[in-house]
Amino acid sequence: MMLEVKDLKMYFPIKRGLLRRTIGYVEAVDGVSFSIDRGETLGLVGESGCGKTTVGKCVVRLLRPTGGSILSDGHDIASLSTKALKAYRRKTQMVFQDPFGSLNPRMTVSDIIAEGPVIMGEGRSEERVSELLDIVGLSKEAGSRYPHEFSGGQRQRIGIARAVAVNPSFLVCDEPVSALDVSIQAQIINLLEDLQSKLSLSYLFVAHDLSVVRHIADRISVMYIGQVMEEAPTEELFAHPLHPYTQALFSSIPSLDPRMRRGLNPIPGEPPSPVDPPPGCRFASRCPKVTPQCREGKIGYVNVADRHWVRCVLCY
Amino acid sequence: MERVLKIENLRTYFHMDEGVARAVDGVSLSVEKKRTLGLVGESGCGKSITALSILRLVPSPPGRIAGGSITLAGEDILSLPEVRMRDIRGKLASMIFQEPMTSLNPVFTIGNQVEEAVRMHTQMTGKGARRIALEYLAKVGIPAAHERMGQYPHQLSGGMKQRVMIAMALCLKPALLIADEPTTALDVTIQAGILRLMKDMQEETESAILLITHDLGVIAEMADDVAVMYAGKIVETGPCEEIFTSFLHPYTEGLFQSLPGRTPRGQKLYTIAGNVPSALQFQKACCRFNPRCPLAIERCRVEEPPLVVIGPAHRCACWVRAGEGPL
Repeated sequence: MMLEVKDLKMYFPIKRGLLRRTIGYVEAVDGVSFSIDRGETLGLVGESGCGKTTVGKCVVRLLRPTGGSILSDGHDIASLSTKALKAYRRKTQMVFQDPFGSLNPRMTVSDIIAEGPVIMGEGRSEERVSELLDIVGLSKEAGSRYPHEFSGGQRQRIGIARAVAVNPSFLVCDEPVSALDVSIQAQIINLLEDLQSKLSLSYLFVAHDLSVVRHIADRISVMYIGQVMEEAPTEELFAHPLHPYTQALFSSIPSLDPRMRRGLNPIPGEPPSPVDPPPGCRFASRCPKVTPQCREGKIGYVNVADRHWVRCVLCY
Repeated sequence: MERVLKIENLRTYFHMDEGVARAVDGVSLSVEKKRTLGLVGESGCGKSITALSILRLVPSPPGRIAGGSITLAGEDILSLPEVRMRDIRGKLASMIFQEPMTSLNPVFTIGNQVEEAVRMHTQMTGKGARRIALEYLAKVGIPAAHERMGQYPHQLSGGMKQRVMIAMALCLKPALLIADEPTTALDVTIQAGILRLMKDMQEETESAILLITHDLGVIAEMADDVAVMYAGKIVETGPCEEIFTSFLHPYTEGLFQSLPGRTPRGQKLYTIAGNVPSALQFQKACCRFNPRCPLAIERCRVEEPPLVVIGPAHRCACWVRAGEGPL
C-alpha cells in the first residue's frame, strides 16, 4: 500500500469579534478514508465545496489535518513538522488547477523546473531540465522563456514537469484539466497517463468532471459535504451506483447523444452547510429515498461488493 | 417559422498595437422563434464576441464591427442610433453571462435589480414592476421569493444567482435570449437545474435562444441546431442530431473524438495537434484550421474553403471533406 488515509479530518475555525474568538468550525473534511496502491489512480469527485481539494492539500501536507492519519509507505505523516516533511515532499508532489496562478511569472521555465531538485540538495542540472521538458512535450528552447509566453495547456505541462522533477512516486492532481479547452484537455490527460506508466506514478485525481475521471481513474471516491458517500472501482461504480447521491450526480450529467435526451433531473434543494452539518446522513435533506433512520446517529460504510463501499442505510 | 435573428457576414475586428485581430470574420447564422442554436467552440474562437456584437456591446475602441449585417426581430441593429439600442437591450434581446457572481450589482437587492429591468422598459412603476419581478423570481425557482427579493447577491449561492439573472433576462419576454456559457461556472447538479429552467422558460416566453458553450454535453441536451466556430469562422453548421451523428469537418471530428466519455478506458484520447491560435495570428486566404488538421492538402494553405451545402440544412467548410459542394 503506497498511501493510506484513515479517518482524515480537517476543521477550519471560524473566528469572530475583536478577540478573534473561535465560534465554530467548518467541517471541510470529516472522516475520509481511502488507500492508493503503487501505479494506481484514485479519482476523487464531488461538487464544489465538498472538501475534495482540502483532502488533496492535506495529503501533500499543505494543510496540517485536524485529525486522522496519512500513512505513506507505513509512516504517518499527518502530524510531522515542516522540516521533517522534506523527505516526504520528494515522494509526493502536486499539480494545480490554475496554470496561470501556479507558476511564478518572474522565473524562467527552467528555473521553475530546477527549483525542486535544488531545494532537495541535488543541485541544478541543465541536462535534467531539458530531459524534463522533453518528457512533457515542450521544446528545449522553452526553458529560457517566461510562463506568460505560453498557452494554458503548455503551462500545465510546465507545472507537470515541475512536479515530476524530484522523481516523486505520488502526484496529487487537483483539477488539472478543468481550466483547459477540450482539445487541449485530451493532450494533458494523455500526458498524465504516459507519465504514469513511464515513471510508475500513483495519482490522487481530484476533479468534478465525471467523464474525465471515468477515463483516467481505476477507482472513484464520491464526496459530499466532507464525507465519502461511495467508493468503488470505476466501471463498477458507473454500472451500479448505489448511493442515492451518486445516482443523482450521474443522472445530472448531460448525455452526449441528442437522440437520448433524458430530460435532466436536478436534485431538489441545496446542500447543507459544512458548519454544524446535520447528524446522520448529510444527503438526507435532499434524498428522494430518505427514511427516518437516515437522520439518526452515525451512518457507517457497508461493503456491498469487491472494493465497493457505500455509506447508506438502504444498503445495510 | 419566424426568424428572430439573422446575422450575415459579420466581421468584428480589434485594432491593437500589435495589429488587427479578426476575432469574428464573416460569420452568418440565424435563429428562429422557440428554437435554440448552440454555438460551440474553444476559447478565443470568437463566439462571445459574436454575441456581444448582436447587442453592440463590443468595447470600442479597440473593437469595431467592420462589416456585415445583423437583423433582430426586423430591426437592422448596425444602423440604429445608440439611444435605440438601450431599448433593444433587455427588451428585444437580453443576455446571461458565465459569471453570475460578477454580473449582479453587489450593492442592490436582487428584487431591486429585476424591478429595474421592468421599470426601464415599460411604463410600469412601483407596485406593478414589483409584482412582475416577484412573479419571475418565483418562476425561476427562487424559494421564498418574497423574502429573497430583499436580499443582496452575496447572500445567494451561484446557482441561485444564475436563476436571478435568468429572471432578469426573461421578465420582459425578449425575442432573443443570448446565454454565454450560462452553466460553465456551476456544478453539474446545479447545471441540470439551470438548463431545465431555461427550457421551461423558453416554452413560456417563446424566446429564441442563442446558447454559447464549449460543452458538447450541454449542446446535446439543449440545442435544436448547432454551429461550430473555429478561429473567427463557422466551419460547420446543421441540425443538432446530424452534427452529433454525421459531423464532417475535421475540427468538429477532433472535438468529438477528444471527449474522454467517448473513448474506452485504457485507450489514448484523440488529440488535435497544436494550440488554439490567438486572433492576431488568424491567417487570411486559407483554411484557418490547416496547421492543426491531419487531412490538410496544399489547397487548404492557399485558398479559403466556402461553407457549402452538404445536406438539408447541413453545411461545412472544408476542401477535403466538403470540397466545392454538390454540383
